[in-house]
Amino acid sequence: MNLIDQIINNIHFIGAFSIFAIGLYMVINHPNLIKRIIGINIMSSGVFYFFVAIGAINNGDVPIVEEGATAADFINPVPSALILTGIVISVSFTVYALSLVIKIHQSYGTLNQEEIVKMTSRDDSYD
Amino acid sequence: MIEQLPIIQMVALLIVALVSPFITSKNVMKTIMLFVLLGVFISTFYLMIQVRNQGEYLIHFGNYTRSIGIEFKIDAFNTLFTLFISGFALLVHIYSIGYLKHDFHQKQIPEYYGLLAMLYFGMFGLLYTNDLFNTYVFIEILSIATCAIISVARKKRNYMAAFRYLMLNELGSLSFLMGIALIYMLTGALNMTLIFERLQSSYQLYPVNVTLAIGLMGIGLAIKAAIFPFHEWLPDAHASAPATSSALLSGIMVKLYLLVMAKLIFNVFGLEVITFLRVPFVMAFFAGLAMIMGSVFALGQKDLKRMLAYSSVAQVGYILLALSLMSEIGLTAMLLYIFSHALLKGLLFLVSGSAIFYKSVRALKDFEGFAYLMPLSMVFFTISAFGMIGIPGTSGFIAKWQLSIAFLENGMGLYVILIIASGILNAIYYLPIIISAFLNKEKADMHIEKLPFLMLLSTSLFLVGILALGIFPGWFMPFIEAAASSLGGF
Repeated sequence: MNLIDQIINNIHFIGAFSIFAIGLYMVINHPNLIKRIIGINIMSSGVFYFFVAIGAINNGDVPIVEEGATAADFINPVPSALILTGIVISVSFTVYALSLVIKIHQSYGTLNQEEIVKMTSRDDSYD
Repeated sequence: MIEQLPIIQMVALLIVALVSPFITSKNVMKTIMLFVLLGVFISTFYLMIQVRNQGEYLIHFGNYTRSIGIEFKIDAFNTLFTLFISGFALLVHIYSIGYLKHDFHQKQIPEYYGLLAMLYFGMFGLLYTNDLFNTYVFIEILSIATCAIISVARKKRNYMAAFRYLMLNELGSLSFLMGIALIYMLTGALNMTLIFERLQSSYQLYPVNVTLAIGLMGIGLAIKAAIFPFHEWLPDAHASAPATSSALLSGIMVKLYLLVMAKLIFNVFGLEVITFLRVPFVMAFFAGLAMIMGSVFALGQKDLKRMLAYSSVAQVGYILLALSLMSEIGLTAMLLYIFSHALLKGLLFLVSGSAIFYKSVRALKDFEGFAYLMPLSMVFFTISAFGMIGIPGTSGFIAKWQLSIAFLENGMGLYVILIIASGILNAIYYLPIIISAFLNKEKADMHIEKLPFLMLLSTSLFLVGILALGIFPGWFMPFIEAAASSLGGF
């Protein structure tokens, strides 16, 4: 019973770490470059989820202070604000990575990492 | 006004980065960049003297308090490093004025400088900031800017190198962010000073959080600093970038993450927590592995720039080893080693750039008799290679000497053997190039190479730096010691 209680109490954190791990698995194991970018995005969702879960409290309210409310009623707004920055960073990462993928597809004609590695190891010249 | 100087510098760099896409003439861009870097260099020098005389101070953005606002801490440590970075950037810029017609389409040159300005902006911020989430933001700015710098030269290989670097970088950043989340969960603060105060009393109550956070942040920074098992991206990325950017990336970028690591150890977690979790032992282990394996990989390379990149992997090991001592003398040795290696590796990459510029060679076998074609550059190469090996008179010797003394004082003589062994491995792969360059061919028509004057000027200034640090270390030691003690709080 104790274990189940613990799982229920920490369900957000366990969920966040699972999403993180799923993303990580995808980044490491998938040969397709776009799927790997998706994997990174899943990972970052896991981290953002974790951050938001830190600030949340049960039945918490939006932190807009009104007459008579105490601090205990509100969720912590700081993690949510941080995540806003994090989402912007994640978007700019995705944009840049996708633009690289376009260039890679133009020059190699494939998006499969294994095939690209085979091609690059064949011509060993740089300039 | 003077106190706002760091912010003014960063805003100036940011403005350069933002206007760069609208500037079409490359000469205008080069001039703007030169003056901005000169201004930044002079003002940082002034700032460093100011901090040395009047002590460190804090900048609060928007007058928010420490617990919710962003804070910059200006102390002896980060002003010394921003001074070094801006000086290094200035020299590389002088070199690149002559060099850049080689590697790029002309239209891209303003963009390239814009990205460099963004890179310096990120470096400055990363050093100045005293806030954990802010550190993450600057790390992300740096990682996207570096990848863009690698992919800016439009070659097939660069795209793939940049992509791999980007993916690994992002893995590192996210794992760093996860670490920040765990720390925030525990302490409810993002300010380094506050976290340090709160962790000291609570780390034993929540060992899982602290251990996981240190592990995640450590792995994140290890990927970015190319510490041995995570070094996979470095040779591709640094070898395919143009020489000016390789010098910057290998000379400074990689070390910056080690400095962040030092900052985390001393300013965020504190020595008590770190030694409680036996982090120094783990660090020393990976450092030793990197020192040997990096050199072993470098032995097998056929391409000069790839060899230099693998040599950087080994040198990161030295710096990490110095950090793993966790003492003032170890920290001093670490900072000295960073300066020394940045100068040496910067010069080596710039000389290899000159060789590509002048004769389009980069395979090691092409360097036979090369000293007759490019005597000055090969002399520069030789002296900096001697520095990497650790021959007296160069900065490399002083740095290794300091490192060995630090270990002997702690009674860990075994590591000195490791340092010497890695030095010998360095000699094994640098000396054959020098020998074949100078001795292998009897060519009578020796002449000085016709490189652009600015390229020669910049490389000779690097050489002056190496020799000055090697022959008169006493001039620089007070500054480095002050930096070490302000970083470590000794």
